[in-house]
Amino acid sequence: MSTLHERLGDLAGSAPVPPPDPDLWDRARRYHRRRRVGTAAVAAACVLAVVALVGLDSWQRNPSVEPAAPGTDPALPARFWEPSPWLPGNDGEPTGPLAALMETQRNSFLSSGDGVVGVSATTGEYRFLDLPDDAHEVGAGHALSPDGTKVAYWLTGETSGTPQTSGGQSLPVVGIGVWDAETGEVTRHERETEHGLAPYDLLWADPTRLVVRWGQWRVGDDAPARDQGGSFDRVGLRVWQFGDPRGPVAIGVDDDLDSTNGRGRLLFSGSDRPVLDLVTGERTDPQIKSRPVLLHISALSADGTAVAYPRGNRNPGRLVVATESGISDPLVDEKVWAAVGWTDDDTVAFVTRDTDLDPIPAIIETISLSTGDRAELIVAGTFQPRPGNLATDLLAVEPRELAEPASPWNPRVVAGLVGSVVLVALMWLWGWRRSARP
Amino acid sequence: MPDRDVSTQQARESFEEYVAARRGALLRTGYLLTGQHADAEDLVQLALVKAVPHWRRICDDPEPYVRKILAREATNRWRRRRWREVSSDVLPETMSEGTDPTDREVLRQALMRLSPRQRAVVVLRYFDDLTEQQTAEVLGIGLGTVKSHGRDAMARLRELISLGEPLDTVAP
Repeated sequence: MSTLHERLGDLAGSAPVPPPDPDLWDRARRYHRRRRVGTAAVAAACVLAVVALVGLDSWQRNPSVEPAAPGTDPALPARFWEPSPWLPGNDGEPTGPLAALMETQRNSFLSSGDGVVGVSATTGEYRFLDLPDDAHEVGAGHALSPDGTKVAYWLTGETSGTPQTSGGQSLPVVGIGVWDAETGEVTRHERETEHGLAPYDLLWADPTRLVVRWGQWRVGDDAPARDQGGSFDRVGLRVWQFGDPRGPVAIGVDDDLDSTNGRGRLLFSGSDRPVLDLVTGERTDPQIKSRPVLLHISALSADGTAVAYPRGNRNPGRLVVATESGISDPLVDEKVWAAVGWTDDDTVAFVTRDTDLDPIPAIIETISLSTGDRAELIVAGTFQPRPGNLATDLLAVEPRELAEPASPWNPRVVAGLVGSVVLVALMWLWGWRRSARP
Repeated sequence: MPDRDVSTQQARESFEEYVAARRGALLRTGYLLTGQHADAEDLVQLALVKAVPHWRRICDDPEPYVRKILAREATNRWRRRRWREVSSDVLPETMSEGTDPTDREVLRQALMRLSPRQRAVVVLRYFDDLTEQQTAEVLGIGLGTVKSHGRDAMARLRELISLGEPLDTVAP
């Protein structure tokens, strides 16, 4: 014995050969049947788990928000909810009248950015508005008409020169778009601009007239940093009678716009005669002696003769009403953050926030000037009413209890869960098939 | 269906004939691959069981398919098992009479010190007399891997067996 082959043969030949199992064929068939059944069972359980996850995810995206019955009158919801960043978009489809707009973060599977959620005034449904060429200006980039049927927003597009985008943090603004929530149509008004428009004001004076103000950036992103940020405006406020092909027309007013009353009257800050009637051109002074320093917390009455606001230079303050005859005693003594609007000539809607709670929930209340009766109108939660994000006409309508909006799961988590389920099932199956004995 | 019954019956008969004829040879290879009689029986049984669903297709020449399963199962299913010497109260595998039992045990111990894949390459190349290319196909690995495993295995065997008894000649 000298070669490895021979020595291996000798070693192998020492192995005993016990008698074969006469039932081996049947055992093999049972073994393979068991493996097939086990595999099918695991696959079925895996499919069921995935279907359940996807179904739950779908249910979360589309909860029991019933379609509005034909002819349902729009109303504000009795409660606002914090919108999920994973809400679906409306894909440009009309939503019907909106109760409110909420600017918030919008996430997709691969990215995230700014978005604006529209709250249906008929169903309570929350959806991101897919507004074409939305520049997504933060803060006051969108304005809801008082009746909730139109959304104005700043358009982005091409500039003739280098745009100013704050180093890519914003989109260049080139005009104004108005999206009709009842038809889904967009009316656009674009301006020639070298470096882009500097957006200032965007508010509806009434359901058909939009008040806008913009400037022109002086330089683009390619200019030295010390030169950037400056803009000029030689025109002041413009009013766009919706449908007028001329677009916004200058009205010769250069005051700072605070808010509107949704009935064609504008309220300015820092002016001797702070109220302007767009129809008559008349300016009046409701004698706001202790003017609020903060903007967008005053509410002008429908007839333009009274302004409600939290008095003082700090927020919150005491709610007062100024008229030509003077300023009222405080109507509400504490925690009034802003006046939102007037539900009628005698009743002011205002926001209170309980700072003892975290997060601080906002409540929209009303108070009668004549009787002093207070009532809770809407639980606003984290929603902060401001001029342009609430359909103020609907304050006059009794708020409606509407279904809680969809709260979709993070699709990345859903995909991870589905992947984990499949992976665990495959690993278990792999281990089981390996360890299963014939 | 009658046709299927007949076919199944024929496959069963073919399988049982093959097992009766070739089980001993398979066990010998299995013994070299695993180093333990009981493991060799398990390995051969597993290979035969795994071949059953394909038997109608391979019944004309089942040997290559069964040996491929045997070799791959030996390297995959047994990969995590470490064939190391362990203390035991029982005697090692019994040795047949007629040759020097010490010589066999030394070789067996040396084989067990190889990795499962190295051992499979040695067994397929020097016991089953497969070429390097055939060995690569049976194990499902590259030709270069077979060469390197073979080279390393032989170097290791020479080192190990020289401690006990010289490995005079390596063929082929």
